[in-house]
Amino acid sequence: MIFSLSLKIFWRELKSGQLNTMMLALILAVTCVAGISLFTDRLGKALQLQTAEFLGGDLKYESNSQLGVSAQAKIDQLGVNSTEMVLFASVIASENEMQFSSIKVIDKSYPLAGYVELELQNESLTQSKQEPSKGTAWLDSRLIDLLEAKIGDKISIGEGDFVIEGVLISEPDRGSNNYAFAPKAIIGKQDLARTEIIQPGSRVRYAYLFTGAVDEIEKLQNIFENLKRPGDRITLVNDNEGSLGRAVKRSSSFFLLGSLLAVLMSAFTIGISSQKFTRRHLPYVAILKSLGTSATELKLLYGLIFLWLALFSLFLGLSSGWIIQDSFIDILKSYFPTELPKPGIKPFFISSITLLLCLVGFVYPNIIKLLGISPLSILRRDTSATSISKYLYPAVALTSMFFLLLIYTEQLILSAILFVSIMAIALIGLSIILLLFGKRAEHGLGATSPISLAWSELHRRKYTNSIQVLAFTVAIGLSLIALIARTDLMSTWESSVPENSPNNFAINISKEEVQPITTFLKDNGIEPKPFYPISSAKLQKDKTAINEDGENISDRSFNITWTETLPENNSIKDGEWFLNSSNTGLSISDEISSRYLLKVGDQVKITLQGVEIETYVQSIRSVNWESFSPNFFVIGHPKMFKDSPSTYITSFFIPEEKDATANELISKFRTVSVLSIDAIIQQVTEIINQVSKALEVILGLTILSASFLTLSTLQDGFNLRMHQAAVLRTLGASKNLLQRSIFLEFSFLGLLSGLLAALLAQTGIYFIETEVFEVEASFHTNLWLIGPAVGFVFISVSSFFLLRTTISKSPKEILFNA
Amino acid sequence: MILETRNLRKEVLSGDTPLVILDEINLTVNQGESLAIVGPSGSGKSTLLGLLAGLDIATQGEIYLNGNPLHKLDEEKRASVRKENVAFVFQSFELLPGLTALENVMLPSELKNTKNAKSLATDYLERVGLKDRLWHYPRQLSGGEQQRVAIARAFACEAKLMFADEPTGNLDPKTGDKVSDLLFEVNAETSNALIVVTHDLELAKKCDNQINLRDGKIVQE
Repeated sequence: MIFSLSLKIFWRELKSGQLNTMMLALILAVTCVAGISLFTDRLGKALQLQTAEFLGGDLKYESNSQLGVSAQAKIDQLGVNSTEMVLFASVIASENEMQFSSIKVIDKSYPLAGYVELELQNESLTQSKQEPSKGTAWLDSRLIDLLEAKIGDKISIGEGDFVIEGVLISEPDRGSNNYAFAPKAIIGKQDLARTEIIQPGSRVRYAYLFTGAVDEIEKLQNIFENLKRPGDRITLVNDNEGSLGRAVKRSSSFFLLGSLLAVLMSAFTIGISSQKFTRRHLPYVAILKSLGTSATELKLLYGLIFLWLALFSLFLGLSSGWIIQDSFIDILKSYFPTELPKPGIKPFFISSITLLLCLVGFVYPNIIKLLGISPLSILRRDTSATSISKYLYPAVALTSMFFLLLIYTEQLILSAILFVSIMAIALIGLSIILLLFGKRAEHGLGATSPISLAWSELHRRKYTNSIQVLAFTVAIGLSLIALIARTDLMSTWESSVPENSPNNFAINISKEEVQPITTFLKDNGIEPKPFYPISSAKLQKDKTAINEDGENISDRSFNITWTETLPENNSIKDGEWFLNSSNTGLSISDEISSRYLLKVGDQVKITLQGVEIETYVQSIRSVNWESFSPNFFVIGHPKMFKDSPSTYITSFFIPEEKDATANELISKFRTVSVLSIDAIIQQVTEIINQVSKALEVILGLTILSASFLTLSTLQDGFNLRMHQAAVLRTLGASKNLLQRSIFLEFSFLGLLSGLLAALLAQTGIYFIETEVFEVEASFHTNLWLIGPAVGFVFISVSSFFLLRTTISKSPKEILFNA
Repeated sequence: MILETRNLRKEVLSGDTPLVILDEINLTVNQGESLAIVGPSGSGKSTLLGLLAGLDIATQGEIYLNGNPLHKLDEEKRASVRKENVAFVFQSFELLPGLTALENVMLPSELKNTKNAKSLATDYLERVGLKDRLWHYPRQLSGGEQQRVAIARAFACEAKLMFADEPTGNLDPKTGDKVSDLLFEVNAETSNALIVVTHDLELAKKCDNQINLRDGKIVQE
């Protein structure tokens, strides 16, 4: 009986539209969560795959020497997949030209992740999972151009002759080569001996890639930690997400927080709707109780009604969430080489838990209150009498809110901070309203004029107004963020990459080549940026330079430069830039400072080309690593290194029409390598563009949920306003008085919301600017004009039209018994 | 004469078919008179009250309230006539829940922009015996007390004509008697006209005149 009754009541509620607001809010909450979590889950998996591909495996171990037999035996026991690469630099000669190149020797297991992309003889593209055939080599297009060769031509590497089998388009672990900037060739391991390049004392790097289960990789990491010698390097897939990964991850966090706002507002809407549901169901409960329905049966009945509602909303929410994530993926899919992985179970779990928490936190206390009321008190119209504590509702709602935060952030402290922040913002909003309307000097309704009636209404409805102001503020604030993100923020970011900012790096420049290259560039109409000497150095801090992770600073080599002027995109955080009067000192990046616990004044020993120099940390710099200029972890005082051997690095902007200049430069200066970063700049610009499009969808959903909340708070007061208008009109109040007072009341609320929204948007944009786009935060004057104006016009006009029909209803229909 | 109707007719549409609610209603009410409108449920009592008070418009016929032709006036002008001439007491009291007893009684004076609204309201509440309930909200008052506040509000209108729609309908007999006595007592003091719609024949008997409505027509005067 209870089962069929629950279905009947649910179906009738649904048909009559009484459940619309609550159900739409629930669907919206699930849509937001499902959409975003499905998207971020798939994106996360794709990034993991991509970074694994970029690294070439789950773990990479690089060393100057080959793995010993005992180490190899230990690794073999783990049963992980592995591949060995030998990396060195050598001159490759074709019939016409010779070129200093980077050579990678791969074995049959290569690549562990992804494919090698090749262009073959007939210009067809292929994805290879094998090493080059015996006696052949794969060369990248730049090397082929420089050698003036083509597929099928003969080349020689050391003592060995090879045939060019294909043009190397891309290989998975393209970042793993020390000579990554040099033109590249790949040969098979079976041909290595033939080249006779590797002799005792040759500068060769061995790189080992591994894939396996998480625990196997952890064990492997332990083996290498014990094995590690100075100069060796262990890289895990998580260490290597790249700037694209970081940008996407930061955006994902922002999306998730955006959707959380939508969920919280939906939760409040659900709470308000459930109060209405409770009021409507008081007679049901009274009648059922008086007919002898037990408390357990009633609990079961309402439990089932909400179960149907939950399942219905979950189904629709997940479906629309899936559509949304699909559209996001569609927007961003061009950045992922393969189809994105299928989502895991987690997004579905988070969506279901969100729905459950919304229902438990914001509906359950009302239902408990409904079921706790005695039939007699309902028949007497005294619905205030209940044994349920008035603190139950806020306690359960706030607990649910905290759990929602915890599920989203997966961090207790961050959840606590967010919880306190949300409460603080809500309290500030409430305090402003209470401060403005807390006490009324005058008694009465103030029905003497539209202004005094509006003012009195603002006082009387201060708590409802607070919720409305909060909803309006969030809706307008997020719209402003969307607007600024689309306009100012994009141009701010684009301007952070100034026009004609360097799009090429030149490295391996000898001291003697600095002047000729400068002349060459100038002759071609290209303005070079400063040339920085660059060398590899090791740093040592007394005997205590071991950080919390057990890393010893002396194990790591840094690229060091020395210069008198602080490079662009660097700023001093602590200490001072080199003084002209001194002739020693180092400036280190803040990452190095925090990672190796180095502070200003610390005595350090620097080893450069075998020479040890005692010095100290003179300053700590923050470096914008995403600027397109040469950046350094360590910069030394120029006087300290003035005779040290080094190569030079510089950057310059080559316009599109002078594309060939890079190749001409390499042809003229054979040892110099040029790396173009045009594609990277293009990719970052595009991804930010696409991310901001996805951001708009989230903001759209959040604005929708804010609108639902606003509508539900307005609807909640509809009956009271309708009754009041009927009484006033019966007493002779003109429609004009009521309409004008409503217009004024909501104009004020709109104006206040607009101002608070501008504050919210300014704060939000500050974080987006500094955390997501990593540009300098700025004050957006237009926010403070658009926000209040939009609030004033939109809220006053929309509320006026919503409420006009309510106050225009015939008082006779409302007050008289027909 | 404070109120006069001539051949009043009210029709509503039931689907496409016009349904006659009131027909051939002719009545007059003079200053200081009281009139009871009685009749079974559905006879058109409340509809008639709505028309007489200018809350609704007739399909046909004429209504003059203190000389104002309500049948010719638009809603805004009828509201103005109501403000100056009419007061109401409802069956369900119709007090505004967010206002105290005093504030509810102040409403008519506020709408008329009377300066001493508060002292007037206090006086009227004292006269209905609620001097110690000025700052109570409707939910804190009993049914009888709420109706006394409503009566005080009606008198605060200082209108020439008062309408009472089942004023004792929601009260127990004892409280109902007290409230009706109060209504007539204060009305006598002000010499206003009073029109009462009621099922209660005892209450109707207290009025100077009585009309009986049946199927929308006056059957006995």
